[in-house]
Amino acid sequence: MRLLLRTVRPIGVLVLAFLASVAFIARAEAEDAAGQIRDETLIGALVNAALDMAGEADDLKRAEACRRLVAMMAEDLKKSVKNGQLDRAAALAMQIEGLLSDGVAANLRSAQAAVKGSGRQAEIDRIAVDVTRLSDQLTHLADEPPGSQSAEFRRALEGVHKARVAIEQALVPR
Amino acid sequence: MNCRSYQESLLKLDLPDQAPAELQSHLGGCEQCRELQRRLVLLQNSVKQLPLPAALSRLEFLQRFLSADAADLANGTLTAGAAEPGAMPLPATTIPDPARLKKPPWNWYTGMALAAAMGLAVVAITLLRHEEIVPPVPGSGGLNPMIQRLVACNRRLAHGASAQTQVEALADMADDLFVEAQRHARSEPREVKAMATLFDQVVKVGVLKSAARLPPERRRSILAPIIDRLSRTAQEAEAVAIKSDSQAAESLRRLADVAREGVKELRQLAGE
Repeated sequence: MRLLLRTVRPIGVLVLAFLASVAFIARAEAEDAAGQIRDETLIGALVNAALDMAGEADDLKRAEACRRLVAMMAEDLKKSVKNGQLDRAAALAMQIEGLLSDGVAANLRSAQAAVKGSGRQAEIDRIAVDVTRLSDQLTHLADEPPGSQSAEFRRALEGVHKARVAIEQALVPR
Repeated sequence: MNCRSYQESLLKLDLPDQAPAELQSHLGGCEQCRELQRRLVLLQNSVKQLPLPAALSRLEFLQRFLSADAADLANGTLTAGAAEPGAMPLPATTIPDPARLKKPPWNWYTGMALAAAMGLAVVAITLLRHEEIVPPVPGSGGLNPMIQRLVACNRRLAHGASAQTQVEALADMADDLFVEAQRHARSEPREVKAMATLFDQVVKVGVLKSAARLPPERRRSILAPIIDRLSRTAQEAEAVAIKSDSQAAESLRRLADVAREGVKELRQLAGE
């Protein structure tokens, strides 16, 4: 019996090692495929947003196009944090900051300046509330692990918070 | 009775030299049975000549047994003592005690099994992980650089850009989409198809419409470099299509067609 056990043990180690390596490869491939699908989704959204904004003269419509992009990228960022891909999450946070500053805040500022008599204040407020709430959700990710463990990610989220402040200031009547 | 019966009777006797009368009379007339008796008597006499250990009382034996060490037990000196003559030593142990057997080197076996397991894992990885033919994206910091460039394009367009900025930003976007299609050409026909579809939209809906909004007097100077880039894209897409599998090649040829159509339209807009 002992001899049997001693013979079976190395074979068991072999089988387990083989299964572990197969599982490792399968998981890596699944992660690659999932990452590729996420990239493809973002690329499609970015192209469509660019086409929408290219001929668009309306500030609020451009702000809305940017808001939709930010919402999509924020979802990807949350997934990245959940998967421990903090490099990707930090890179996405930096891109979101740019879109919030140049896309949302700048367009809301010009829309706010021209709001008198346009009756579009509610539309401006809705976009502003939406993106500030989204920004707050993102900045909270820096307060707890795994987000809190990456200095780069925390710095990127500080940028998102600054852009959020800029959006609030854009709504202040001048 | 036959010889066999007489021989069995002989073998049962304690003293084969003192056979009963009936057996004795048979032995007188049977040479074969007499030879057996002779051998048995010889054996009996030989046993008598064997040296015997000195007799010990039970109590004495127990005392010696309890005080004996392992060497005494192995040498057979327990019963008679080393100094006593006639003691017959126990035979040397020719069959080793199982406990004294050399244990198999299980640690070595396990080590070898682990080494084999690692080898097997390497083989599994080699067999199961397909060749990495999608070139890695350089310096991406976890994010495809193309996404970063597309975000930059969107930021340029978000400002209510001029027609020139629009057409230039969208032409850059078309270039990026082709680069991405090219990157996946050897392994991901689905990606190539997706990029070719987006390229189609960017050129037809984006670049051409933005180009049409350019002031006529500036079109030629603004569109000339874009026409060059699209022409180059068409050529390169055809070249990559030759090396790609059929599905990817089809998408790349469609992309090349779109680029050529774009060149044709832009030339018309530029007045060439």
